[in-house]
Amino acid sequence: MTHLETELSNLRLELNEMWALVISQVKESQYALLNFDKDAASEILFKEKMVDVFELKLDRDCENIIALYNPVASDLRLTLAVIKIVLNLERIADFAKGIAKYIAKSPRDKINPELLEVSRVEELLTNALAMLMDAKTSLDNENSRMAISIFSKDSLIDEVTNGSNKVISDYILKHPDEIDEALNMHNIIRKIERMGDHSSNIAEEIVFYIEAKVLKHNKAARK
Amino acid sequence: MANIETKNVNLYYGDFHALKDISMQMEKNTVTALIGPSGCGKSTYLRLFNRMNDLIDNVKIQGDVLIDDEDIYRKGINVDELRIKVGMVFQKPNPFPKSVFENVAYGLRVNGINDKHIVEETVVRSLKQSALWDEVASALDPISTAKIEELIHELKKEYTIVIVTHNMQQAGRVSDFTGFFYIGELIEFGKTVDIFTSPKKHQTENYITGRFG
Repeated sequence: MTHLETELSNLRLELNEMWALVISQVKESQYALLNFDKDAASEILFKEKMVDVFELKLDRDCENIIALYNPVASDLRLTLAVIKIVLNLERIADFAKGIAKYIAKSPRDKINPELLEVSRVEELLTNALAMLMDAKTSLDNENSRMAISIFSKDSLIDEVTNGSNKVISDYILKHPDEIDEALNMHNIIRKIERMGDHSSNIAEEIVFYIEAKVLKHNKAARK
Repeated sequence: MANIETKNVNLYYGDFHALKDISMQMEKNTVTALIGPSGCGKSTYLRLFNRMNDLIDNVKIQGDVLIDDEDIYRKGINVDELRIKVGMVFQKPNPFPKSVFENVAYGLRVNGINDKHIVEETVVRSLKQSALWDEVASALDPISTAKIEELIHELKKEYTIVIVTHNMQQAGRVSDFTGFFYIGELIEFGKTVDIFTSPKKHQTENYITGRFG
């Protein structure tokens, strides 16, 4: 193994650790939301700092690799992809933190199950989580086909969130005493939608690394 | 229109097949870098263009070598004139087995000239008359390397330049096109930016990423 290969292999190990942490943050945010569990929410808030540490460390490692080893071809594409994947992972973790913050700070100690049901947040978060895990597996196995399949999952999330305005306004009309909760739920739906977008960005980076193809702003190539 | 071109060139040193069916076109006012492991044919290929291989015994050359559409191996060509037109710089020229820079600098110092700027300018002037560069910038400090690379950019306006280099970063910095040679074959030839970001052939990828060679 060359020095650069060792560095890149360590970089990937570290990225996997960060990825696993972000996956667990999203999983926990789903659990905390569905059960309105304030302890679980606090734990997410605490672990968010570890995500930030990973982000800084991986950014510096990529910078060092470029400066010291002058990577080219697939090595360069991997290094550039890691920089962007890390950025997107951090944003996803941020949204999980946002959900946790809402639960931790809410004056209520439970959420109306009807609101959970009509907003379809469980389904949405399950999808966002699947996208994030598929992205990780596709990089682990260097499988660009799997990475491309992530885009269709994002369309599903977009479809549900597009209908959410009506769902939430109907809910408010039916439960005028829960306006705050309903608006917060609308906010959470938007966060989950953004999680999906960031996983799609990650998928684009994986395809860029594996196939040297740029899918950004290119809808036709995403099929 | 190609300024320098080879069509299906094969070169043999006795029984040794040193260049295998090489076809390449170099446009006017471009810099082409030839990369590849030692002994893969880069310098042999470079020497085709001012017929330096003619000086070696038992050399057999097949195929066409064209400069400005003229076959430089046809009968009746004036080789001396050709070598004036197509200059060549080596890493270790006579009289001393040192770099071009050191040779010129030494020559000047023998003549009592030790001013750094005069030495540099003279080196630059001697390099300016050449289009084929064989590992000229190897073993130079970063400042001299930068000067030479700057010069390549400047010379490109007047010349078509072909360089042999083992320094991947240098190939990336100075050349417009890159050819990767391996065991006498031209494995891949293309825009330098494509070769260094997304090479088409695995052998090229493995070489430039330092995984073999």
